[in-house]
Amino acid sequence: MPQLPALTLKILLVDADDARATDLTKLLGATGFHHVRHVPGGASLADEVTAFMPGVVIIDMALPDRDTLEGLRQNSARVPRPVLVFADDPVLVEEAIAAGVSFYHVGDGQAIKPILTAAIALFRLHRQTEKKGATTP
Amino acid sequence: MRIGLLKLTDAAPVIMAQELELFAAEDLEVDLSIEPSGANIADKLAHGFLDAAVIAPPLAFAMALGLRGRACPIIIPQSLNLGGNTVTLGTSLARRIAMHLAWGKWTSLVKARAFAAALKDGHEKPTLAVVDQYSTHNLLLRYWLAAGGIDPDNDVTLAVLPPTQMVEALRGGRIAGFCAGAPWGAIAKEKHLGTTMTTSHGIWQNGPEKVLAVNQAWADAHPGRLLAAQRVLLRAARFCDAPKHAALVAETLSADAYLGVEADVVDSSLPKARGGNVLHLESLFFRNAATVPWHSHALWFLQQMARWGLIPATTDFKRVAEQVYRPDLYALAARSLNLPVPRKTFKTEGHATAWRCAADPSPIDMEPDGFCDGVPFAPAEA
Repeated sequence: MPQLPALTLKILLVDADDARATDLTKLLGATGFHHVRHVPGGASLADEVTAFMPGVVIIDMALPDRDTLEGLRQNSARVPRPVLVFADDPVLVEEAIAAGVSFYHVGDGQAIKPILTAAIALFRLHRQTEKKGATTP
Repeated sequence: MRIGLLKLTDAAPVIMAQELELFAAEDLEVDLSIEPSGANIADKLAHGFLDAAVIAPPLAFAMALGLRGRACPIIIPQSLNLGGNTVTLGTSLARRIAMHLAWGKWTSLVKARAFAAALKDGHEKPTLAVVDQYSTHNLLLRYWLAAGGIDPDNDVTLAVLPPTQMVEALRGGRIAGFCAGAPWGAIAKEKHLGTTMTTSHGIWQNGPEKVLAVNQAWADAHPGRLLAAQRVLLRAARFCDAPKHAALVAETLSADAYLGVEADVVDSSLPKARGGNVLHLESLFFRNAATVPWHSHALWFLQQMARWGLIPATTDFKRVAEQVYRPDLYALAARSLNLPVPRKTFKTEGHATAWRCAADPSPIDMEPDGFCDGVPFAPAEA
């Protein structure tokens, strides 16, 4: 029997868009990832990361909080220290940037590819919907 | 050409070049992209979504050395400004420090020592925020704290927060102070939440702040466009540096499309006519050879990054400095506008008084470039 993926992985979703966050939480749940916490970002983010100890952080690139996440690395007192996901796959990274979403993870990145793909797809979909909305008078 | 910016006064030359249609005059089509984080700028620059950006030199080195994501060759053909940051401390911390200040001249060094004394008064360890671990702010704040006898890694807690969140975090008591670029210190002061304890100039007089960082692959493919962009930014730097243009620059930058703050707080950090006050707030864009990408600046940044463990101490500083900082490209652009080009690519950082820099066709008058602890930084000649 094939080994089950690490579905107990804790995911922190940092997104100021509640509707998109709800959609992504549902999508991740359907993929089997149920430990998703949604926060809007802001000055409390570092404390939220320290309290929740996520294995993965999904963050909206339109928020300023990415620098906060990257800064957690310099402070040895705080764990975990999320590292920018730079999948060996540059195409995936470019798709993520184009969709406006970024990822950080702790430990090895084996189990997280389905999370990246789901989030990229959802951010892209929301972006397209927004664009359509914007052109409608 | 796509140029990335953060919401900071440092972006003035690039924004003014766009608004005054100076890029267009050189037949350059430029898109400005206001980005919410340094991380976005770095990713977009590394993956071809941006060609150039206004960033702090430590981030350029982090990218070039592959410290965040894939290593990405970056060059810095021109600097953009000197100074402009404040170390802003919340009212209660500032009061504790003031209790340790005796009568006399309150230099930045005296204040750092008073801060060290205040930390022994039994209060909780204060949290100070900087805008990015790979920032000038992080290195300047650490330099100042250490000069006063404070261990930045143990005696205080250093955190990272976006500049736009500093004032709110100070209000809520989440941080006790911050080091950030203009106009955020001015905003905290205006709201009576904080005191300007020192500034970039107070820590390193006329020290460098932001630079034009360019994706090397783009620069190699478009040398003509890069040269044109540099010429435009040299003209814009001179424009922004003139005190008579401050009101227009402040108004332009304050627009919602750019900084989205009151024009007054932008104006407070623009170059003014002033008389010998070293603890000034200004971002200087042209005077004091502000646009020159000095190898001595590069070496100082690299050495300080190694001092605090951000890069390995074994890094070949000279090789990295010369790969990233490109005064040769600066010279091409400056010469084409008949602007003076320094004869050397480095200077001693640490002049206590005004001096004259040898340059062709004419020397450049320089204000002091000393550090708060009075120790000069004199990289050996190649």
